[in-house]
Amino acid sequence: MKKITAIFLTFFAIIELSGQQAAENLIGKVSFISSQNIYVKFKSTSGISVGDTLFLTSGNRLVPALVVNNLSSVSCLCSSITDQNIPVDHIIIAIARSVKSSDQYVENIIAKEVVPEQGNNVDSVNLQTGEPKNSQLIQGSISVNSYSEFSNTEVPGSQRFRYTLSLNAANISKSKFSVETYLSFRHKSGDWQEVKDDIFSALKIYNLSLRYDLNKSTRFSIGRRINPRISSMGAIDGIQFEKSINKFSFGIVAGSRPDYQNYSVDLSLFQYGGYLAFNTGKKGKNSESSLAYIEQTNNFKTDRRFLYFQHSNTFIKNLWFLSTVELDLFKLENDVPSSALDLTGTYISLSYRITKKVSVSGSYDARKNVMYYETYKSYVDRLLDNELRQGFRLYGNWRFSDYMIIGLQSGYRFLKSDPHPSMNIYGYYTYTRVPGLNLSATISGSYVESSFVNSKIAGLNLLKDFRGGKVQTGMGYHMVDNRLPESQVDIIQHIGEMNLYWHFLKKLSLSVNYEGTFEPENSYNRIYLQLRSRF
Amino acid sequence: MRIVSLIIICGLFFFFRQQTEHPHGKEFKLSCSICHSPKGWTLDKEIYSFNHNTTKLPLTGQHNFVNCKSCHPTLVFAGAATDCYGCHTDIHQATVGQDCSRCHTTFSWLVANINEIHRYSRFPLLGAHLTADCSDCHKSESMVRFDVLGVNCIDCHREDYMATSNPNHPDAGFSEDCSVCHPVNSFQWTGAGFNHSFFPLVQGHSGPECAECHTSGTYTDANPECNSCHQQDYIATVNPNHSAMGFPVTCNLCHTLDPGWKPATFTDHDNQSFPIYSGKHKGTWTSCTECHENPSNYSQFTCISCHEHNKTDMDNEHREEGGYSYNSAACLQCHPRGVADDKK
Repeated sequence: MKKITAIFLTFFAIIELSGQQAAENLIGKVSFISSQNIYVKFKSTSGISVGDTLFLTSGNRLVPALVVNNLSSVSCLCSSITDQNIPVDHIIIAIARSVKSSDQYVENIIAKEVVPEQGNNVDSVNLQTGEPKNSQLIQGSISVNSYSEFSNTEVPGSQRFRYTLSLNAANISKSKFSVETYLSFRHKSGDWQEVKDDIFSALKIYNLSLRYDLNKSTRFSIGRRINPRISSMGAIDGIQFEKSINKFSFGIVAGSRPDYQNYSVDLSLFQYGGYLAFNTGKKGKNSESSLAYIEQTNNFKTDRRFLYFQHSNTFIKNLWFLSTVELDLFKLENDVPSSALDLTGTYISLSYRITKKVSVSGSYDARKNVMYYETYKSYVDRLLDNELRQGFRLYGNWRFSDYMIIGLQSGYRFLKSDPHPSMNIYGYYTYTRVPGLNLSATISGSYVESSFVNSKIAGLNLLKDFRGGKVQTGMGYHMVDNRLPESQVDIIQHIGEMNLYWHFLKKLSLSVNYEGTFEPENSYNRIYLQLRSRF
Repeated sequence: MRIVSLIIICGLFFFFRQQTEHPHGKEFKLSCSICHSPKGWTLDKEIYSFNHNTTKLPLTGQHNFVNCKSCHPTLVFAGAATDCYGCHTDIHQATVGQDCSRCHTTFSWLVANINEIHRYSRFPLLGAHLTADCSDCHKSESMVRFDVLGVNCIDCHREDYMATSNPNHPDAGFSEDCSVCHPVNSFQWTGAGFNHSFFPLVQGHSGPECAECHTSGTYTDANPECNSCHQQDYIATVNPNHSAMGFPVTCNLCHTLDPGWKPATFTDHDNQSFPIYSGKHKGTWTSCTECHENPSNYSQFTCISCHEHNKTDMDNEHREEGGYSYNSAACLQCHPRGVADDKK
């Protein structure tokens, strides 16, 4: 038996070793180009399979260009996955799987560009399960932002500064502890009195939490954190627990919610709740559903009680569906609490990719302002402001050639108290590779109707990338013809925009945005700057 | 037992082989050599050449530089979310929808297109609103919530409205639609910023102090009727004495907005007394005093001072007319329209 076992083990070992496939380069040429496909001829397609990626050479590196849809013994029928023009007779490289020694592995594949920055131990993964090991991963960013606004009117210019820190330290020292934070500090130039009066008018802690992963499926967190499964609840100052069992997850949260006015900690605003989530996924048909129940209090009196339901799925090929529903369960009328149902928020979004080149999407959202009955007792006006705002958006685009896209977008929004519903229609045409300039140009036109102004807008936007996307520049011009129907006044605006994004010194990036609005008498300017460093 | 052991061993072998063959999932079709080299199964950064732009989510901006594991927590890369909120928690608490790209780009969270965002919202920014700070209107902005706001003026300017004292808007019952009086593209609530287009303050009406017309301080006392402001002017007239003549109190029937009450016309003269703006007498006079020689009494007039109406000729022409008399009153009595054949 030992012998038989040894033979079997040896046999399977040979099979297993043979699975350690090496690769070799096959050189082919584009032989024919149809409207749909590109044909590539090789001496032999042995080692190439349907679904394989074929490459162009660019300098000393290979650039993915084609995907094999079908093949014969000497030819591949491919579709393009690159914006680059591939003429007949162009050299195409296939990395064929072979049973040859790994010594013959492609030596000329050298890619030094666009390699994502890796955190620590990115390679430390368990190939058996495909799950990452308990490895430390620390990443985050700090940024300095400046928002300047000035005009030639009598309104004085202003400048605001905002500094942010975002940190996600997962599995610190390979432990089960992780820390997340996102906070900002902002102030107006030369105005420190407001900061001195209330530090929390400037310091906003959106996230500061410590997480402990008991195991792969169980985690606790403490501190301030927005739970992504119930993000509409906002931040929770307290504890959160989540447990996953197969496709189900459930969680419990308890703590307080931030102060309504300055976002500081307010322990009198106790809140608690739980949620149940269910995920499925098979062959690209995924779905995620979650249902949450939340009770929010003020001095232990019910302030708000609601259900939150979220569902998304991709059950139908190329169709993506998302819906969220927020249902309030509590009402206070004449100081008498009741359990009346009130639909506070609904969001439904549907996106469908009809073909590779044509896609459409639409969304409907309806939202009331959230009513915190106890908290708003001191904000009488807020109690009056609870109308349902509804809106529709439709969007479609068609990439009718490699470099040309046209799109149409329309929106409609209204609130019962609005003098008129607001609607807009926007169309654009984009040419992604303007000959000679190698930039992307978009011309657009739109018509907007709102409660107090009707506008006709024509625009041109230019975008150009440099250094493989590390520098992006943009310029835009819009002419807006505004008509105030009530007063029959016309206001013509000429709007210019300039944008620069520059990723430099590996982890530093600079964003500069300028927008100038010029009217016959007045001009308004905004300059926004951001210097951001990732780590 | 041996056979069972063999089956178990083979089963385990196939199981682990199955697992090791598909660390990236069964659907994964890319060549191993895009990421791996003979050095081992770890990612070889030297040969890495995967073009993420061939996926459903082309990498642009900051997405180019984040750690792969941020979006791909497992080696089954296809399991990564392609929608924004799959990776980014909605800190706006569902108040602005789920499509981050309406306000943000992959290059920066900085919202640079504030003007454009509002242009397609229910409240495009115009005039002074272009200079406003976000938090002036979005009171819950510090919580990064953008709650539903009304677009009526009063929704944001209620405090301004309630604080008014000169005039006191609530007491006067003024409209809560500020734009009736305060244009959206003005920068002050008073003076030049005030929209008086319902009663244009031009020419003779330009320049007066508000209190000249709005005498009670409530600004509800003035009305657009001429007499409400010009009664004293009317009474004081002497040339002609409007009151004595029974002229209407609607000044604009005769006067324009030109300062000094001149020029003035009295086109109703044709209907009230005698056609001088039409018919035979149209354009034959330049001054009222040609006919009304006594400026203190416009009820007096003369027809016979005109050179055409000399007495000898008139007497000859009317020789056969009974009751003929050469005086102005008689002329008008027989010729109320000023022509020869319009005898009554």
